[in-house]
Amino acid sequence: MDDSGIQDASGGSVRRSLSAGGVAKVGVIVYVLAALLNSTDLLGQAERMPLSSSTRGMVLPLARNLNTLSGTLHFDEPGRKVDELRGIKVTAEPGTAFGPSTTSTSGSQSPDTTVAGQQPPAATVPVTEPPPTAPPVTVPSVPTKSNPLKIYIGGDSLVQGWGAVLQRLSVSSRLVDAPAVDYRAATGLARPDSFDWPTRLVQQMTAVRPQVAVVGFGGNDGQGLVVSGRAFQPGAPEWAAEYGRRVGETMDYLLRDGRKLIWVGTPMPENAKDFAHQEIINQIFRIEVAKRPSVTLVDTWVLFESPDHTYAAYMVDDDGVAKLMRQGDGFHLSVAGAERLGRAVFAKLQDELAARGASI
Amino acid sequence: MISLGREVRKQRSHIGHRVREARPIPVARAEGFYRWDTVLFPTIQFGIFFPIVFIGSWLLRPQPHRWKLFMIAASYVFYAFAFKGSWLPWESGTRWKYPALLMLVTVVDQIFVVGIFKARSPLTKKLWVRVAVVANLGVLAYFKYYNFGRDNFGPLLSWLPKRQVILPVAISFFIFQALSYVIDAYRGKVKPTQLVDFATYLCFFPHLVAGPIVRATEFLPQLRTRPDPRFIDASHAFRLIIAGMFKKVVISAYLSHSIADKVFTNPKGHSALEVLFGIYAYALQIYADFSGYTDIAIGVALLIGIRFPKNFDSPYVAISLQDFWRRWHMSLSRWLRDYLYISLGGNRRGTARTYINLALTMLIGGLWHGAAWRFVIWGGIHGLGLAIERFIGERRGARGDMGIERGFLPARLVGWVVTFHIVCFAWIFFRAEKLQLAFDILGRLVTGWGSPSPLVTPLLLAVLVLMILSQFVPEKVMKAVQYRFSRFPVVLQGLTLAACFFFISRLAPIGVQPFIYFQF
Repeated sequence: MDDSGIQDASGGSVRRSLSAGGVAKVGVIVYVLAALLNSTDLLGQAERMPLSSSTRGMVLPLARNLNTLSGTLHFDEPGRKVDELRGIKVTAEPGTAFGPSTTSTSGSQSPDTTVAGQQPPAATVPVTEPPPTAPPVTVPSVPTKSNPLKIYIGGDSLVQGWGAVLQRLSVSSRLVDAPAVDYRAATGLARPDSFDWPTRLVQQMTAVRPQVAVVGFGGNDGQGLVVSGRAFQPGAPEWAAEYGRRVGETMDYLLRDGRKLIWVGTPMPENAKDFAHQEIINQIFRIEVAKRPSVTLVDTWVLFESPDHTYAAYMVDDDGVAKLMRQGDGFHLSVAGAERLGRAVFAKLQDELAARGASI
Repeated sequence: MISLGREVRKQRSHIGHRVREARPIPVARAEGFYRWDTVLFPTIQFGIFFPIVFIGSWLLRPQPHRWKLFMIAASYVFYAFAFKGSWLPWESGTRWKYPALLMLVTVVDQIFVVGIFKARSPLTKKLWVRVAVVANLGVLAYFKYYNFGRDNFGPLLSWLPKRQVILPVAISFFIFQALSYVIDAYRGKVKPTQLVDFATYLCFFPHLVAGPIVRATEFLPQLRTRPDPRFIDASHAFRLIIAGMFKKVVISAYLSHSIADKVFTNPKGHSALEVLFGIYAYALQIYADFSGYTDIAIGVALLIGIRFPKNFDSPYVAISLQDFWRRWHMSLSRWLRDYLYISLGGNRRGTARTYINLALTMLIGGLWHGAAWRFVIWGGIHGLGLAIERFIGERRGARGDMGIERGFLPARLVGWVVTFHIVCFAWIFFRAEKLQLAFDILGRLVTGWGSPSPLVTPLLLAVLVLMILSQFVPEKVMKAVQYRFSRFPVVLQGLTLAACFFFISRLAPIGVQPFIYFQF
């Protein structure tokens, strides 16, 4: 440390400056200590990176070793204590809340390809021990203004826009009770280690007890999946089988207890690589929905394609006005796009209301 | 891709489609997937990037030319990380497209400045500067306002083809900085510098993405003096980085997720109390988010030996709108004052023109934030407020009043409450994704009383109150803490900072949300 100081323009106290070497020493201490204390979070961050990202390949082994070292030296204890004080528990096995599955995505992975399960994930989502099934939903009755149809709206970042529109239309109709839009950006069914939707859905079905679940996933799912210890990319048959299984399990769970399900697909992306992935994902949705007559699909892909079945940023809306439907990233929906999709989903909900004898 | 004419003719409603024919799943090449390694300050990626740059920077400092080249390379890599796509420049989906635009702006503006400097007559100088301003604003207008102009000024601009223009991150910031260099050169405040100096100034990574808007006259002289590696104002830098991280990662994320996002996406689903606190929460969220980013940027630059101007000075203690704009996004306020308000004539062309200039400056300032009417309204509210304040101030001045800033405590208190609520009112238009939602929020504030307000929790109230109170903590208290910290031995400084990072990390939600000001 240098004894020379720095005085503020205001003439305040003389602060002691540091040399570049001194800053580097402080930096080393901070990096080592903060990394050891936060090793679980760092591991979680590293695991949430895309599977084939070069940064992930570089960071993940380091984060794993750091986590092991932190555990050995008990540097993970303070974090655990703070989490306990905040009432946060760590989920034991992400992605398994619906019950045992035939092809577990974790448990037998090789260390190089593990997504979940190899190390305790950095799930800091407050969770309680989820029951395998939610309590039975109230027996369907005719929805009225005094007894509205209760729905759950949830999913990835795409849901934020159309979910808000759906919620607004539901509130206006007074026949539907939509308490919240439960969206989480950058999540989906591909990476339960990043955000555990199965656990979240079990919690929400238990807490909200909706008669209809309206969910949208897939926007972030065009990425690698691990099946029996091997990573597969979208396009591989193994990937399709595994993703189809997850979609199917999610649908089956949401259909339990006499619940109805509206599944909202993803729109066509502008980017060619994403286009290929999303096309696969939407095909899987169609196949899984076709197996389950109680599921209604909102085919977002079709809703936002141009007449020649290509990407269209602008579309003529129902009011006859051409509107920009997408955001700058060529995938997410603009306000007008969210409005269009929200109305489409609400139309399905109105079908459900009509089927239940509600006077619309 | 965009076949609008056919869409009009063949428009059909797809609502009502149920399950499409289940075609076989197309099998694609296993080609990996998107990279989304955006370098945000509080990420692992930046944690890897910065030590490399820090060490390289101080090692190369004795060789200024190499230091600049190194810093340009590091900054372009930092900028390229902000985009998706291939790292290979020759591939169609390359992420170097917008860094190339930055390079083009750099080269072209350097040519303009040399042209201004070499021009022999004032008329030629004026011509050069006008071409430069039009060219820079043209780039900004194309990327930022193309669709807004086409959609809103149909009769005038309907001949423009429909296209989806992607707004590159940081364009508003580097165009404004380039303009400051050009206009200062025209005004004789700065001489043309070497291209490598100008490139370093424009792309310098700490300020590139979301400011502060550093002027050429503030940055370029620092390239000519060599900072001494023995004297780094580390305690100040560490304080800014820790405070910035806390504001961004903990406060902004909490306020956004706990209430602000919910209220602004669906105001009709919330009570008036929730809407009111949602507005307060957004006011503090955007402050925590944006000032957090610039605090980190200033701290990071300081560690490399470059000083940036202050960008926020406790804006929510302001007792008038004029006071607010002296404290909020100060680098933009000063830019608008010096390059727009003064260029429009400032207060030199009579009273009426002064008010018009004031309102116009704020309207354009609003439009700078985004191509939407809600930003224009946001700027309009501030412009109108400033004009009214000026009018009242002038009348009071004529009567010999001292003005609110030197007035009694009750007057200052009233001024603070009124200013804070005008600012919050304007934020409604700034945040609401469309105008109708802003009006829904205002309507809900009137009609939504009496409903339950589960989102207004004691924790939320505590965070809001503490955030407001923190603005009133005198700077000398913070400096005293900083002074104490600077006297700690190196090891103790490291331990203290590690503990701060630990608590920030534990209190943070999963993932890092993008900074709000990235979009501008």
